Amino acid sequence: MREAPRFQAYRGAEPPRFANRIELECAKLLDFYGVPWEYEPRSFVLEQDEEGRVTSAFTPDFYLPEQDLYVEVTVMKQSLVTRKNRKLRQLRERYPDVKVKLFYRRDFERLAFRFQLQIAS
Amino acid sequence: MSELGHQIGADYADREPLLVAPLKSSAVFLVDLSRALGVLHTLDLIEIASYRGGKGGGARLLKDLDQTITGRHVLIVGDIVDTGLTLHFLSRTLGLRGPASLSAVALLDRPYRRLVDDLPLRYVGFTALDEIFAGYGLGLDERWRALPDLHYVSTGALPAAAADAA
Repeated sequence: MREAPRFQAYRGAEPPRFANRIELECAKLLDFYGVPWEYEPRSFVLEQDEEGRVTSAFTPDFYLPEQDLYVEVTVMKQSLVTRKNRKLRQLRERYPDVKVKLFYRRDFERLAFRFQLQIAS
Repeated sequence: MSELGHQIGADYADREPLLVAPLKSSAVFLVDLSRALGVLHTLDLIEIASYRGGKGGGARLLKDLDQTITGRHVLIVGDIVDTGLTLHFLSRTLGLRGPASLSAVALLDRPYRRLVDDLPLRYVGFTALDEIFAGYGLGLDERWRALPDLHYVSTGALPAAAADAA
């Protein structure tokens, strides 16, 4: 992402490198309201082969330490997120104590309407 | 409204709560709730700068309360809670001023859209569908606030850009 705002509530060590515009807008929104956030601080192993090699993992986009909540944002339309939903289900089964929420494109489109955000990729 | 007023009035009997509403969309709800409350209370208004794409720094108060709230029982009166970010900011800001208690009531709640969960939301009028609302104080680009009742807004009634987002 070309835009590099100065974040106030970011709690990570390295500058975040967002994959798309919606992730950036999510970060800016959290930052505006002073909600501490980290970007991709942890990967969760979902599947391993017989020799213990990781064959499937999931790295949620954001972690909100005060909420102890991971947030995954997706630019895909709600009807196309089956694979991501399956990973989320696996994560919840394997890590039942981890709170994670999927924020859909539609959620951000609604926010974009409300806050006049630019969410085009 | 009378059910909500009765419930809140019973919980706040003998406590004289201060009802705090963020401008502008909560104004009508505040007035109706005030009339339905049935216990002595006071009112105050607050205004928070809206988020506009991350420009202009963080959230801040455009209009602060007229009254001090230290030792008071504060009830935040909001229109809609969805991500919870605004209520989170407001409750954190007011919580630093030492109220005796801090709770919130929302006319409409969309818990399935929550981004932050540690909210003092204690009373909810209705759990709302994922629709756009107007009227009863809620506006879209400042229009339709004055409609006396709450309405769903069909995407056909919105400007093109807004309809894309809906």
